[in-house]
Amino acid sequence: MIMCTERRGAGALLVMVLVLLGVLAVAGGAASVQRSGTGRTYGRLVDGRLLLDAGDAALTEAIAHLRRSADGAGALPGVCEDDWRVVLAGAFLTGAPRATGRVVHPLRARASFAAQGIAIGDVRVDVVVAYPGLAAPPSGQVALPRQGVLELAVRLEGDRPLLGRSARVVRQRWIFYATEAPGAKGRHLLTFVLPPHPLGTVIE
Amino acid sequence: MRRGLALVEVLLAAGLLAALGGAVLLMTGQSVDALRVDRVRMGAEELCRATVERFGRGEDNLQARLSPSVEAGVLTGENLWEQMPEVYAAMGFPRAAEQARRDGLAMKVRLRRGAEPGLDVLTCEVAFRATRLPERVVYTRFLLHDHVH
Repeated sequence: MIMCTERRGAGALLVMVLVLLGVLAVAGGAASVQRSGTGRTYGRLVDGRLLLDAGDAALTEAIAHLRRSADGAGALPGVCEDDWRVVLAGAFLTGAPRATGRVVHPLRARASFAAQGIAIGDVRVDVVVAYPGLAAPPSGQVALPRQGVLELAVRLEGDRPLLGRSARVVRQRWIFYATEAPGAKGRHLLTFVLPPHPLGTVIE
Repeated sequence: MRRGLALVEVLLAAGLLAALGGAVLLMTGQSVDALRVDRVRMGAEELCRATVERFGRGEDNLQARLSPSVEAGVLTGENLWEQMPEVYAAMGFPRAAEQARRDGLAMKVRLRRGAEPGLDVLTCEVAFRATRLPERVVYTRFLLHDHVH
């Protein structure tokens, strides 16, 4: 009888120890899951926003280079090898029947985001729509502005452990084009306008 | 026949229960601390993001609130909520100063004008102390000038 009681006592203790370990495991696991979960959520939030910002910065810088080139600076060595005044004039003449796939190098955006572990590729620029008709207006008149759509795309890669993937940011922008009356030397004045606000953004 | 538990068993059970209670309290404390860390981080991130969203447009006249730095073409500012509490209150941070004191937040805003022709670069950095190690969140926005022609 005494042995039976001792066994019961030992069994009760064993059950208590097991319950204690179980509760500790559940509590510890819950705290660990909570801590890693909140940290991971925060990391994903920041990395996702960084990714978007890097894409936005690269495409915005590309637009600045395109504007400068189309405004008369021509090709920008190391940044933009094409003269976008010529490219856009050609696109409006032909109606941009196929993608041109020209490239702009967003050097400043690349440098800005490299410290945060995001690698920015080259920006590919296509004139996806351009309403044709480059004929000069009659003397003394100004033609209505014509419009087209540029598509800019950039691929981003992150070396941050929580990012761990690449993304492609695509954005479209209106482009307006106007032909003014011939100048004194008989040359037409061309104006290209790239508004600052995009039509929309897609992240793939 | 023995009735009840022996003294050793009672002491052992009490010790186990105390250990269990202590562990549960410890875990609860860790959970509360994890929530606090999360709140501080998210608060700092929200403040930094909201600043970039609010002033990250060419139409904003942020340069009026910033001071020239030693670097040419660069304007800087710190803890903007102190200069314009009404703006930050409207942005959803009516207690930004209190939050900054409590969580050790420090904001630095930097605007590089004409980084490229027709392009400014706005950077907002918020440093904070959620754990023993200092942390910071940085957001950058490239701003295209509205009128270049």
